[in-house]
Amino acid sequence: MPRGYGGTKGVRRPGVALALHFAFADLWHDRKLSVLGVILLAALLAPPVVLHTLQVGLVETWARDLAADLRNREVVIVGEHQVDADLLAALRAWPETGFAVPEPSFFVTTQTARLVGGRGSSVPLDMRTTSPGDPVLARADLPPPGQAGLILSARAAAELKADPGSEISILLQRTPTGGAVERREVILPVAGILPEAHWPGRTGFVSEGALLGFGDYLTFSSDTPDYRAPEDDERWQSLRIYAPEVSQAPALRDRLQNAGFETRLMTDQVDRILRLETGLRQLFGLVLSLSALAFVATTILIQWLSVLRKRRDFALMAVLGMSRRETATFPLVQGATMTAIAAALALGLAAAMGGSVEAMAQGYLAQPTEIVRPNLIPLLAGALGAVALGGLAGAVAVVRLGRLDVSRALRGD
Amino acid sequence: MTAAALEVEGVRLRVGEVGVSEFALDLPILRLQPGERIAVVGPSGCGKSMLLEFLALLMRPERVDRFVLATADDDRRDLAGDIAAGRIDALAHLRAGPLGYVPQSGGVLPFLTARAHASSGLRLAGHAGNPVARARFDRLAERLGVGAHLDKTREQLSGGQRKRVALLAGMSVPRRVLLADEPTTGLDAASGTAVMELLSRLAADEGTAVLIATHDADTAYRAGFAVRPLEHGAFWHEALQVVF
Repeated sequence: MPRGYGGTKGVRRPGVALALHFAFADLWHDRKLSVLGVILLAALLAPPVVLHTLQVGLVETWARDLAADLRNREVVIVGEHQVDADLLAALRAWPETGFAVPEPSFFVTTQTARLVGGRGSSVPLDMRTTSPGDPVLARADLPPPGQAGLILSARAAAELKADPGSEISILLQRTPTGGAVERREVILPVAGILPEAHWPGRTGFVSEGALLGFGDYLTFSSDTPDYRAPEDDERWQSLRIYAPEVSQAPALRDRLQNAGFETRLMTDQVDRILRLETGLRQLFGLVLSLSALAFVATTILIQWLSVLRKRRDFALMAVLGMSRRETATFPLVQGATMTAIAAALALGLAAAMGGSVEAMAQGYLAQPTEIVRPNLIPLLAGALGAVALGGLAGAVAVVRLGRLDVSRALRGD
Repeated sequence: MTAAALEVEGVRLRVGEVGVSEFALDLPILRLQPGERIAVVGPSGCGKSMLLEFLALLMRPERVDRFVLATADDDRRDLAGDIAAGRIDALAHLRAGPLGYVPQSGGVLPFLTARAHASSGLRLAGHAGNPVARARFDRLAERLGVGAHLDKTREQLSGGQRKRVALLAGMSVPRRVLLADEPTTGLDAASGTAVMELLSRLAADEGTAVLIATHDADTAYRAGFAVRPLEHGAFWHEALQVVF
């Protein structure tokens, strides 16, 4: 009788481990084909990953910057309109309205200013109204200026050489019919300075009542440009109005236009970027679907053809004593391994693109900003999903293996 | 009387399309005693390979009444039920143990070295780390003349070397039954004789029942094999009676 080595009873058969060894040995032996397969799979995985990186890196950074810039929430009213108290209340009640403050005519708002006690020249100043809840001041943590205070933009403060606490003289001029030019100075203390990033230009923010007083003096309704609280039937010529979110600015613009206002968005690119982001999201979904479909079909085809091409090898494994379940490990592992390498390549490509995307994005941004990077979790989840699909493709190939006629395969039929 | 290493009865094998290329083989009874050496001879296409593939549990027969294999000294199992039910894959592990099979050609996996391929049986049987088993493996490799070629891959081996590596894989584990399909095909006369003698010695030394299919009846006979013809007639429906 054969002497043997104590038989195989009780010995764990290392068939699966051997199949694993065979799978990796075959991947290396057929490395040219393996590399080709990996490149093919990576080429299918890369487009959605790259598109996602671009979408996040470029468009989302732009969209984030646009959303962070308050000016992009403003709908600019072009020209003058009669805005009475009822209309103002109605506008403020719209869901598309985040904040609205009425303003008088442009001749009231365009004034000349100089620093009290300073030797600097006069500076043309665009006077704007403000009121509690003004998001421009709130974002800079500045309180409302009060009845007699003034908030200066950074540029205006620089040209006037003014600091918080300085006093600014606003020179008002009017010319009565047939008379000489009359001048009055209004002294306003500087209550705060708005950073350049929050408001460009030479602008001074004052209360509604302050500009009403200016208007009363300039239109000869009063001999002194003193603060006057708005009346119940006060009529204004314009307003400064903001949407609560950047995404609602186009809707606010459209509604104001429907109400008879001539308007434009403070930044026209807001609408375009928002549409681009939506378009890219849809495109990403489409590319992802097509890539997933092509990826599944390709991985299945690669493994299926591999099993067909190697049927003699599988027959030899059966001759050696491996069961179908053990040999099935071979295509499963090869499918998962090739997909894992392809997914790593696609992710590596996305990571390598990071620098280029950042440089590109910075080139399009108004000022240097931190570029949004893709969230790793969905990318890794996608990679794991791809590896699972690779294993699944191997499992589909195993079905072909199940129909393998070992006898015919051994003879090379 | 010693218990048979393999007893097979009431087998009918059939391949091909009915009425077109149908080929049938009857095996009323086959009994192999431990250490017995049988060489099945016959012209090409008579069904020798089919017979060996069936005995190696690689082919499902149309009918099988009895298939008793000695899997250990005190264990003989009738596998006929599993075979008839088509559960031959569940018996694959037996080819890594008591039932060895050497296919007719090209029996080396292309992605392994000759050593890795030939020792796969040892690994499957759980004997890869056994020094006695490794020593036996190396001894057989030397006797087969492939000891110096074990680190080569299939594409680096000649046809004859591949054949001997496949034989080494079949012999790598001590078997109850060893089946070899044309073990000397592609070998020169001297190598063919050495292989036949080694198979014969394996039967004598280890008690392995060796059944080969061959066209080289003289060499087999000189090596101590009992030569048995497998005959087939001119008609497709002719049933063959193989009784040993």
